[in-house]
Amino acid sequence: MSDNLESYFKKQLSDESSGKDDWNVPSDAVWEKTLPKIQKRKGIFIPWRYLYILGMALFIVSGLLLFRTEYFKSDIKTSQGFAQNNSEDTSQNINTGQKEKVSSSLETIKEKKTAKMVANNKKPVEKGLFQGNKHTVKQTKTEHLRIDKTEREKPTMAKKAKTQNEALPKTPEPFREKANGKNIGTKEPNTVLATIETNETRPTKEMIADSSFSLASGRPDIEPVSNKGKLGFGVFFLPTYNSTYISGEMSLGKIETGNTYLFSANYGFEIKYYLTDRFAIATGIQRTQIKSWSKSIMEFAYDSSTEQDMGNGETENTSEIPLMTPFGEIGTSITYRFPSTGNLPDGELMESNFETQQEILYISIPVGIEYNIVASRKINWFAEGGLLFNQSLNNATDFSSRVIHDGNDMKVMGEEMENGPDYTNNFLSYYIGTGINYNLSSSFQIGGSARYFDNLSKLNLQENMSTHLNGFSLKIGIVYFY
Amino acid sequence: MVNNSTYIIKVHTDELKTIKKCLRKDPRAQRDLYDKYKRKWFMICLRYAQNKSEAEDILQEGLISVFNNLRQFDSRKANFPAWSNKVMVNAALQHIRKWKKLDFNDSIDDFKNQIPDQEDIFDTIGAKELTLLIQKLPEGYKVVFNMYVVEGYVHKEIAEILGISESTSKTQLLKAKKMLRNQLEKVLNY
Repeated sequence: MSDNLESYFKKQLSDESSGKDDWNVPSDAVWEKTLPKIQKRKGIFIPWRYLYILGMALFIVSGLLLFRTEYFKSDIKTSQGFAQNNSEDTSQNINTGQKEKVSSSLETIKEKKTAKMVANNKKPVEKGLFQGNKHTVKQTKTEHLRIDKTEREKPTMAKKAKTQNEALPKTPEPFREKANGKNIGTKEPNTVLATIETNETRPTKEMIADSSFSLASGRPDIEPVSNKGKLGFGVFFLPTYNSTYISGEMSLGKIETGNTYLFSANYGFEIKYYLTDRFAIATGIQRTQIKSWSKSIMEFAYDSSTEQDMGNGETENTSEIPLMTPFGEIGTSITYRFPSTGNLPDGELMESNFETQQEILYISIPVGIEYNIVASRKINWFAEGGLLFNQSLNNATDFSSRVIHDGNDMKVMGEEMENGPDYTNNFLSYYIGTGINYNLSSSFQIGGSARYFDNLSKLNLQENMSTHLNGFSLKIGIVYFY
Repeated sequence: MVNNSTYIIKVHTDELKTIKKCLRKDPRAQRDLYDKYKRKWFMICLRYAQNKSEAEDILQEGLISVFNNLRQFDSRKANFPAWSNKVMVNAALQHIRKWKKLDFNDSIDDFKNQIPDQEDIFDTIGAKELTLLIQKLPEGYKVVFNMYVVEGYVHKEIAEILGISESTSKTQLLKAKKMLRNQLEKVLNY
């Protein structure tokens, strides 16, 4: 009685039909009250794949920034003349009656400060030049300098100081800015105003164009690395997120799945040849693992003709249920048990939940091109694209199933796959991407690129069905050039 | 053999798409999911409540839990209805703990006094009537009966969740069934 009571209640209560009075339908007020509370965001939700894309974007942006720095470094040649020209500009623009005094005072203080730096160290000059480059002020900027009375009253000392420093090389303008009147005393209000045109008045382009700028100590010019005609061999790591989805008509109805991106760690060997400094062809061999995951729910009518009483209070039955996977349809045979008291009638609607995991391993041969959109001494920003010929090596399809009746799981005793997915042994895909190469030396190059790939030829041989493959990968590698 | 004509192909990813939209707080997707399961969820709440108004309160708490904890749902481990039903049951149990005294020592006499007039209830015995009958059970009996018979928990799980012994859970179930059986027999013989 108690078992019957339980099953009676269970069966009756699983009936969701509401009848005439909608007794089991909540009032609209429930949803209206709930909605504002579930709309509140608890922090920012970022799915992992967006983080991956964000990472790739950061990679590209940081590469570009690095490239920008390198670009300017390699393009700017330094020369002494640049500094001389600028020093003349400075002194010519002093517009007070005490031009000579001020000029000499300034020259002395500035040169005192800069002389040490220029004579001993090359870097500050370069850094200073960069500061100048950052400024693109087109209008003339004047700077008012307060000259200490004491300084004015001691022209001899200033002159002497200038004389002592005459032998020192002229310095580039940025250091003049640093050294100019800002540190000169401001004790007395009765000061002389001097207007000096600073380095900022020179547009950046002019400064770069003035190619005679260089260090007094004679820093050798750096020649850009030329890759033309170089043949390189390398290895790369290729973390990948791929998705497989299927659309079409399977034996029992239309099917269309969504994208589910799964991670696989791939790697390969690369051969690269630079036809010109900008244009390279690349090939090699790589491991490509394609993963898929799917979950499907199918309903089927129970057939009591194949059931068996196991003698222990359980009944066993086997149903043949087709399983949909992203790589095609698979026939399965599921054996399940339930309490004999259940008495399932013929035609009773049963539910089967399938979860499928597939991993197909391919060996791929890429043939692609790489074009340096922007090339500098060390860093190149490139675009790439190419084809991949993929040959399958092995297939691992695994699935798990649940058989459900009235919301209760039945005991699944056995799961068999009658046949495997009907996919092609080889297929063609393409990839496009962009990335950064960094020349460590004339022989070694490291690089990374973000790629998108998609299949070109059919993956699934089953009629009226097509499997689509796409994904993103991040290639990180090193190449050695002969 | 399975009759092919009765196959209905439902691709679970459609529901996953809706759930993913819900994770992005898409109100339309949230409404779709609610409309799809509102009866099932509300019936759970009705079984643990004493009336429709209380069931709506439980449903509201359950909905907040479902939608705000949707990230914890792993479609690879469970299907959505099963997961969401559990969340609803938990919401109901929390509600009872918060607002009611869970007494596992109620006597049958208490129940008899609460049983409404059968003539009003059992014109037809369906889900609604059985739910009304369950609603009138003492709290302890009701919770154990619902968890064991309808939700499919075993006594060990019930004992852990409610903080009682397994034997108490079994006793409560037996008493609940006895009460319900008596009432049903009366109605069926009526």
